[in-house]
Amino acid sequence: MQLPNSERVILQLLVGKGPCYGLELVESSRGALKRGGVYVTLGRMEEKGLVKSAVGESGRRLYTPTALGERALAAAHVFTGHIKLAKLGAKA
Amino acid sequence: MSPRSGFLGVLVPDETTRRAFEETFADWRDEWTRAATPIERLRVSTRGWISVARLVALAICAGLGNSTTWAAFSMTLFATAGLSLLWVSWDRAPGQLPLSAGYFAVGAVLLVPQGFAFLMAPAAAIGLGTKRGHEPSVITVALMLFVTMVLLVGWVFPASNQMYREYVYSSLSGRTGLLTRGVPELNAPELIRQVRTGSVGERRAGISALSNRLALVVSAPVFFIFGVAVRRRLSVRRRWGNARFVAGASAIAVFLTCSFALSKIRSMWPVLAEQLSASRGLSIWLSSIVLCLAIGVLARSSNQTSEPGTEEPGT
Repeated sequence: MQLPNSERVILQLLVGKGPCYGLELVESSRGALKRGGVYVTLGRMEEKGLVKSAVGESGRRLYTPTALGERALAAAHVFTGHIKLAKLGAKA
Repeated sequence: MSPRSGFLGVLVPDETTRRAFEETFADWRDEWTRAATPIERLRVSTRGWISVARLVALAICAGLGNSTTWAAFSMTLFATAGLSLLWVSWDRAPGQLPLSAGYFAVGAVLLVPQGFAFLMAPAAAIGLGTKRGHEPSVITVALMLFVTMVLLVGWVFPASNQMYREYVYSSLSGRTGLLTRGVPELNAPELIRQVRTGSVGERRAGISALSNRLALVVSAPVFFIFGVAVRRRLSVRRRWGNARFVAGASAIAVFLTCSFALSKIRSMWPVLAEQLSASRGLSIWLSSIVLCLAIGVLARSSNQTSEPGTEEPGT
């Protein structure tokens, strides 16, 4: 599964920090995620089954990664690792 | 259901994008209530506007990739072209001018942009090219209509009008020559320059023409969005074709009613006749305002009807 950069950042943050609101994700991403646009990405990820959301006590949506989302992130890490190894091998 | 949610429901049919707008507005509201100083509030507002602008841009870009959006836009253009040719043929029948059919055909083509400027709005309200369940990106089509109208009334219509005048002049007199351009033949930058630097009379004429053209520009997206709201409301119980017909007919009826009401006011109170001059596009402005109010009512009522089936998970 190909994981766009914004989706990968969101999954990394959700797996690392636990359930988050959209604005928390933007603030923790250090500029990698933009306000407004983050909710379009989150909506798309929810449609793909990578994250799920529920309306919390504050009335705002709280996002959590699904098992598929965690697997996709792990696969993306392995894939990136392979590419780095291949690049190192080519240089050597 | 707030009026804003109602409008969003009409403008953004896509559930994911609509939710993104709602969440962004909620972020803005939360940050605004947390902001302690005016500077912080200003910063929150700036960030809020930028976020909403980014979302609008994303929604428009997504709409450009949707074939139904292009179908709706191109069918509106085709319908307007057809209506314009009919209008021009009826309004400028060959009998009125001693011209041959060939000359008449060229003249009709030169007058088509004039027809486009006036007939784009009603054609947009009908919503040709749309199908039940395959709705175009409303926000994208509205923007495309807006941009088309700006180009049309700002540049194309004045240029073609002048060409038509010179064409008729040369056809009738057998001489060629440049005719002095009047206010309708000035393009948008020239009109703005006239308003800024002209004499009192020129300024007044320029403001009237600008108001008229701006009314035409605004009317096309407003009529289109009104058509979407009516079709969505009616299509639950009516056939799609009937819903489209009602949308177009009711938009035209609103325009005719507004024109009639204004002409009545002008004849009843001659003191107001100058202020309510038809050349300022007041009928179009008034019908756009009435249609905006109607969109709000239709959007709210249709969302209230659909609310029981659209419960949020976890609530």
